[in-house]
Amino acid sequence: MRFLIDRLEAWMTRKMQPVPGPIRLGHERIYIIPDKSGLTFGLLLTLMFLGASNESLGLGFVLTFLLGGLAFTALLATFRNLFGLTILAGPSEPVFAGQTARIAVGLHNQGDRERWAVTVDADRWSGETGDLPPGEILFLALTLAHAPRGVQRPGRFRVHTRFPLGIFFAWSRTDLGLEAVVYPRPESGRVPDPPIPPGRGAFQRDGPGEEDFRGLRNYRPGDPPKRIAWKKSVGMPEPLVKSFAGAPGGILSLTWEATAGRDVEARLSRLCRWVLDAEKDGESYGLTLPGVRLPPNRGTAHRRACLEALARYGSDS
Amino acid sequence: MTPAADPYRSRWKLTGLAAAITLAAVPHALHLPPTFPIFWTLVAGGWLLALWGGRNTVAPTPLRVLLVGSAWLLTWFHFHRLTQGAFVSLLSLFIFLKLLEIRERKDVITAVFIGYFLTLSFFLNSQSILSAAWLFLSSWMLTAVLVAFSHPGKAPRWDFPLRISGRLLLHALPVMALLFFLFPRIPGPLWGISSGGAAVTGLSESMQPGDIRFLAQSEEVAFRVRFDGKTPPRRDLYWRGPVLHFFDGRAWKPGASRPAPAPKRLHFGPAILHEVVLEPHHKRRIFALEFPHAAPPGSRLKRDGQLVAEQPITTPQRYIAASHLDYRLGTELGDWERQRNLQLPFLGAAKSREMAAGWQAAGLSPREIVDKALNRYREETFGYTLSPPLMTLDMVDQFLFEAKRGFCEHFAASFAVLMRAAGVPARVVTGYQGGEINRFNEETYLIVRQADAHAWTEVWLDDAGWVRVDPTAAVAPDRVELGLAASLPGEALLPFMLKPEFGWLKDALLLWDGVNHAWNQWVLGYDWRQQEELLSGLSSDFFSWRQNVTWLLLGGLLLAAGGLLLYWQARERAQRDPARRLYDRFCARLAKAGVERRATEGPLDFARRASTARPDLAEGIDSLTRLYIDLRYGPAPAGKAFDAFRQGVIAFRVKTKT
Repeated sequence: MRFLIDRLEAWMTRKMQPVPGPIRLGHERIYIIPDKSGLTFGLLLTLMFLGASNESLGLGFVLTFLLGGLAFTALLATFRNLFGLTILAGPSEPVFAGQTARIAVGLHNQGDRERWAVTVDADRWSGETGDLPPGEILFLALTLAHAPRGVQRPGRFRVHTRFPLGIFFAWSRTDLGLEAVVYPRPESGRVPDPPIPPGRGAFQRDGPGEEDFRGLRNYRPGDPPKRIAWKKSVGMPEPLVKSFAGAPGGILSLTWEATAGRDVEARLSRLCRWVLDAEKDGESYGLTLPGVRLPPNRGTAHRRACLEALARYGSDS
Repeated sequence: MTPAADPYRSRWKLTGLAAAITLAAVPHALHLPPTFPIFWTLVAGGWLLALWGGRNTVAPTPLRVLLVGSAWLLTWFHFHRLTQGAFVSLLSLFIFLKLLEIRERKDVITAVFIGYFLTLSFFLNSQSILSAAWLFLSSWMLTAVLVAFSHPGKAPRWDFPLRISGRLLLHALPVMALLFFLFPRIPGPLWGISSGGAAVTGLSESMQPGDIRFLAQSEEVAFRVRFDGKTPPRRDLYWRGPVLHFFDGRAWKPGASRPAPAPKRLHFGPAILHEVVLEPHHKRRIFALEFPHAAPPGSRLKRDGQLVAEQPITTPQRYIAASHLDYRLGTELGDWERQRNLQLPFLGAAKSREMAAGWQAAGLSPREIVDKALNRYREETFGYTLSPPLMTLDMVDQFLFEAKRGFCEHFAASFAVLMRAAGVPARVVTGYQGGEINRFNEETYLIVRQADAHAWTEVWLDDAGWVRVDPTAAVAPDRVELGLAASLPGEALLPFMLKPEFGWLKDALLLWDGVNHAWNQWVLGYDWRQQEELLSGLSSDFFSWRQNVTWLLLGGLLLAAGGLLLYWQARERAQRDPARRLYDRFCARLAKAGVERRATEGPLDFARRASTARPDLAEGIDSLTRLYIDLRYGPAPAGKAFDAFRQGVIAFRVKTKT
């Protein structure tokens, strides 16, 4: 039966386009049907009515009709639990592949009445249930465990409730165009270094400018020997190199071609690792992907832009 | 879904479920042996211990099988057959066993539904007003369990499910009333004849010495009658029950019967309309004033004048009858019928027979024989008492010649024997005589109790048919004129309601009887026939009344839905704080000016936007918004500030741009 309802609903909402703005749940957006326990309740009432008729029990009729009235009232109450809610898109923090993606959905209860046990969920995404006091906005999270890389969209998600009796199921489907950005998982273990762009030799690095010692990092082919911290490198498998802020310690060009010979996800994974390492080490880095070119830069915003570019690679956005 | 991970489940909620189920089951304990409540306690107690002890509450299968088996055995030992009562008792055992199977939410819901059904099944035993109160209590608790399990996590208040449940049920009452009166009822019973429940005192099919006296001690109500017009004098209030033809020397029985045409009836004088509300007694006889014109619908008039219904009376029945006090029953007596009503046992009552035969031999007419016998009762100073001396062997002779003290059964039985011995066909009629008048809610009605049970006789006179002769009236006319209590002053064996003391308490009980009468009439007695009577006036040219009523019902439900929604909305609006309401009015006015406040816009942002859009109103917008913010988000609205705000909003007028 759930299958039929899904089909029917899909047909009725076939023209639904993603709408970013707050959406208010009105009459036309809320559907309500008896739940499976609701159907059982109907069966119970029928049996009770037949029993009361058979024995001509006046109080039997009173009870049966009282429960009938209760079902009636519960139908209205469940409907009103959703009616008038405003749904807004909430923030979403990007995560790495394999982690749990989270998108917040805001439910704004503008009325004067409490709403109880309202759930937000979507196909393949898990949701949360919450209570909404009057006038408040509650953010419930849609989560996707073990999120694959890319832009994950819950698409048309559901806001639903069964409160107060669990006999009726009221729901509304909305498409707010929600997105969760999932970066590729950075390759783990020992990763070969990104190549230095041609023409930029070791000597290029020795430019003028402020040289504030910033720390030590691993040696990379092309580093000038005089930067090697010999004392500190004793006993280490690789030499350690002093790195300086302000020094163009290396302009890395992280290119798609540099990761040739592997499948797409592996390539993105390596590029991701390179970006993370470069940012950590204070290097400038540029990212080149088919169709995307980010000039060399540094900083949180640039890191984010690169990771996002990696996440979005291959998707339609 | 493991119990630990299920957010809808909590120990308190499950305990609430156990409490609700126990409440639904408890009244059944009144009709069951103690083993049943002990079973319930053991199962529920063990389960609660496991629950609060942190152990798994789902019982292992072998234990469950064992408990189911013992439930069956327990029921079998008590009932021996799968009657209705057995089924209900089994259900009460199974509902507790259901507790042991609860894993998910749907199991809880199943248990609650069984609880509703168990509540219903109690009404097979009792439908008193007290039962109705318990109905609401039980529904409230069971529904609260459903609410609790629809809300995951901790409830905001401990009584949260109870409050929501109570409110839902309260708001369901109008719909309940609508359905109760308009929903089409179907004639029952639907399958077989209901086997009936507990035995009830009342007239039996035979009359042994002591039977009527036994009933005289019961103040249980047999039925209540409301007359259309004045209540006839008590001496005319005879209510016919079983008619007895066969005397075996000790007891009177109905005897064998043979198909024969019904005796012709003639009625004279005005018809007395009356409505009877009959208490359930699980037999098929019904009562009307002697002598009814026709049998009420659903019953028939037997040849001997008794009324029997098609189905046993298991629930209060309400019917109307028209009777004539002046009537003639029968114009001729067939041979077999005559012989049947002259039957006497082979042995016994020798002296009485001799005396009566003497009257016949003396050439007295039947009427004269009747008078002779009645006079004998009067002259020989017979006494009317609830405690006659013990008459064992030859009851009739002992009574007529030695003891001379007895109750109506002795008088009727001995008189019938005398008549038969004198060649006058006679039979014993049992039933009720008289009743107690009660005034309730500006209506007068008659209460007929088991204590009003009576036995009299009918003799066949060729020129008058079957004529009632009440020998008790000859000896103790007060019995017939004033009632049992008046005819036996100072009698200790009388039931409480018939004793003269404690007038105030009896008045209170009579008031309660009035309430019960209305209850029986309107709630319990309202069956499909009543519905038809009430609503058949609603038929129109094209539709039967049923169709009209269905439309009416649907319309009523829509109205109820609309009404309920409006009521809820109004109540919520009233709870909104007044400052907010005024601010909303202010925003509505601005909306007319073309600046509509967005759903998620705060007052300050809105004020800013509105001032930019309508600079001519900027000042007013600014001051009002500031006032509002102070009121709403500051401390409690000071009287003056609130008034200023209110004045400002009222005065705020939007001048339309030209």
